[in-house]
Amino acid sequence: MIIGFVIPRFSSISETFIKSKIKILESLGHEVTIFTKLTVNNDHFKIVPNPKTNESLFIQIINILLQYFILFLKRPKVFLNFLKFEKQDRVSFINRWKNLYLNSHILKEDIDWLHFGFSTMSINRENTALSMSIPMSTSIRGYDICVYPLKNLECYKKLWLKVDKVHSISKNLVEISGINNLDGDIPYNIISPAIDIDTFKCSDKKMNSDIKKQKLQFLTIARLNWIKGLEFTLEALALLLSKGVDFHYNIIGSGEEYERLIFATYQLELTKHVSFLGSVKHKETRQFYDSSDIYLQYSINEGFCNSVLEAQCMGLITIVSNSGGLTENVIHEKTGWVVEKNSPKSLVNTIEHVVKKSNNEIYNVRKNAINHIRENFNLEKQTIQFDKFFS
Amino acid sequence: METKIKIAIYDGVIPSSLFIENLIGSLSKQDVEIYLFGRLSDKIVNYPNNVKKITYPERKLLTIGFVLMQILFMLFRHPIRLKKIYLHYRFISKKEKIYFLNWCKNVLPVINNLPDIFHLQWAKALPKWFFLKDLFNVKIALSLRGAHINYSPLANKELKNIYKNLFPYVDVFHSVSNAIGNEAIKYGASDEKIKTIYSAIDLKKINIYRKKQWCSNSTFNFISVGRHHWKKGYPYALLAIKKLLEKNLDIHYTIVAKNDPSEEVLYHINDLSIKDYVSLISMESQKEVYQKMSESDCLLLPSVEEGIANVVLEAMAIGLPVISSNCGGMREIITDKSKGLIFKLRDTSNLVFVMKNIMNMSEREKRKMVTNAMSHIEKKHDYDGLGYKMFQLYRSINNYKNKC
Repeated sequence: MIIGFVIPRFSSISETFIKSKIKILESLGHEVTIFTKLTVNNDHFKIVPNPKTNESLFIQIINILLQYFILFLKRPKVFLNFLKFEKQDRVSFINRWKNLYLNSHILKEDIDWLHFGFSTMSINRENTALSMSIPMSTSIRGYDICVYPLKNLECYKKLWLKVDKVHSISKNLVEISGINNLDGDIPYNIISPAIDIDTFKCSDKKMNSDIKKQKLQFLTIARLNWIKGLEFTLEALALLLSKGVDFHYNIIGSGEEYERLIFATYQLELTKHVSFLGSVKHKETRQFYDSSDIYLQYSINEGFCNSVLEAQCMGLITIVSNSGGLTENVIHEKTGWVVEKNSPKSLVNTIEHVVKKSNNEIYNVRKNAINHIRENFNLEKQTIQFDKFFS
Repeated sequence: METKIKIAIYDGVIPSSLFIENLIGSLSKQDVEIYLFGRLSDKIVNYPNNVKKITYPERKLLTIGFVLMQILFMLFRHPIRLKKIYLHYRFISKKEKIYFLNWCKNVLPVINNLPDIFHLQWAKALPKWFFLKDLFNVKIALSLRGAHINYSPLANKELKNIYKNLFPYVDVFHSVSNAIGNEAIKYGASDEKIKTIYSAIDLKKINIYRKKQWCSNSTFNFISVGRHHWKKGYPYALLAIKKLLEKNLDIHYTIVAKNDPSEEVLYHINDLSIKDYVSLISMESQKEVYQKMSESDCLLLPSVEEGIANVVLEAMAIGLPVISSNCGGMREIITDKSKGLIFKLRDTSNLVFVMKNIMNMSEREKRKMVTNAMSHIEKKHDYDGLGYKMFQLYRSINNYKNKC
């Protein structure tokens, strides 16, 4: 089966879950065609770029007409179907033709299944699969469900009517999206992210390390975005420092709120204790996990979080907020600690509580975390789940 | 007889933001000639006769005509200046990409109307305009405001180095608070050249909105006024509102901003389930904003960074009780509890405590607080005083008259 995969962008440091999902689909014997904004050199799968937009109106009109012409010659039925379904949905005349252009690169391709990597990617593409007479599915993620609809009310109304299957990364997202309570029955599968458990292995040294004997090493891997709660994390660490606990905090990731976080670090007098390391290649993150004691993911909202899986598998003590899918990721007091979100004081109390634990207790938490990830979030299990999903 | 000092107040937009317009308005009452250069925004402001505005065209064809006129004028009136600026252009265009037309339309009118003092409102623009000092001996005054000093150079090392190279040569700094002045010293600004001159409030425009009653028998209305930006710290206010609602207090919170709410603010409102208790409104007219403030019970400034928040001065002038974080220079305005209440920045629990305090205050206590606040504004932030202080600041520059 050829699966068309619609994602916003594809780069060398692209979201790991997208790359791993594509690998899984290939391992199941499917072919993958990627529809995305940017093209990168890639030998593994076909990448079809989104239709171009040109600043010159004249060139843009020529582009549009050419695409219509090619599509009509190649797939006249699909061309007409698309316009028909858009009309049935009462899409305005101009928007129907706009959407036809927006979707022309997909409509031309020979695929058997259309899957949206994020549900935001399905907006104005709800009739694409239907016109091609193929099934349509979507993945739902934290931003899709918890943030985007706040500014775009009812943005998924059409999608929920037309989608054949939904993939959610957590139970929490199913509940928030409300797809389990809609009139029409939408089949959904909860397939949690998974990691390569052989790559993220805990060393014996780490397993028996004593977090009390030296300066605490904290780690977070996240985009520098408000939703990751890094400002609250820094506030908690400032409180920890005021209590005389020495530490260093590495933050891996880049993003639009670097200025905000650098300022918070400076204002909270943490400059000597915090390093912003920028983007680091996925493979190279292992050494940072290995040299850290506690992994913090104090997000304001989180779909699920692969880094928390990796941290647990690498034997780190993991402290996360109780937002989104994190409560399904970490089992409180068994594989790590779950803390009330938006409350730096609660976070610092938990850090202090954890640091006071005996080596034996810490050893057990590490062991539980590693077993939890190896059993429940391995790629083999995820492959079986995706095999069922795309059948 | 000494000729008037010729001062260019440069923000890049005409009219500028309210606090800069206050500065222009008040300064125009002194014996000065003021030049404004910039793009014309959609608001209309009438300036006194000693304020000359030179606006740049937006469209390309008009820009070409405008630039040609400026070049011709300079060729006939100031050929040496034209030669100097041509050589300068050649020099800088080798180092960085310059859009010739845009650069000309910004720079040439200033050189044709060369001021004695070029007062830059925003520090990031300093490298672009520093040639005025080098080539034409124009004195440079720089206002120290908000993000340009408080955090941009922390995140941008190149900018930090530029500040460190140029600040020692700036002739005078106008600091909007002592706190921000201290930050500028870290980038090489000389303490002696920094003069703190606080923003001013035109009480004539505000008096009609003065609050008359402070008793709140029904819902207690908190209000924040300011654009949706992370530095405004709205999530702290929203978390505090949630905690007060959990205590069954009858409150409402309004955020007034010109721009659209951020995803962060919308997310917190939704996540905390406080949609019915929070209003996000947009108001274009300043009069509407003052009216809304006057109808509220308390102004809340939850910011994590401010030079001096003008809205706090306005609230104090209106007679609206104020709660502010202790960020930036806010402690220099709310010096003690008698003028308003301060909470520890980024500390939601402390904010909740202070909000409860203000809700529990009697009408008499509130009346006393706002009377002190109003009197502080009248004494320390008077509109006419601002112009005089700025005039003295310019006169403090050695040899401020440009002989070039």
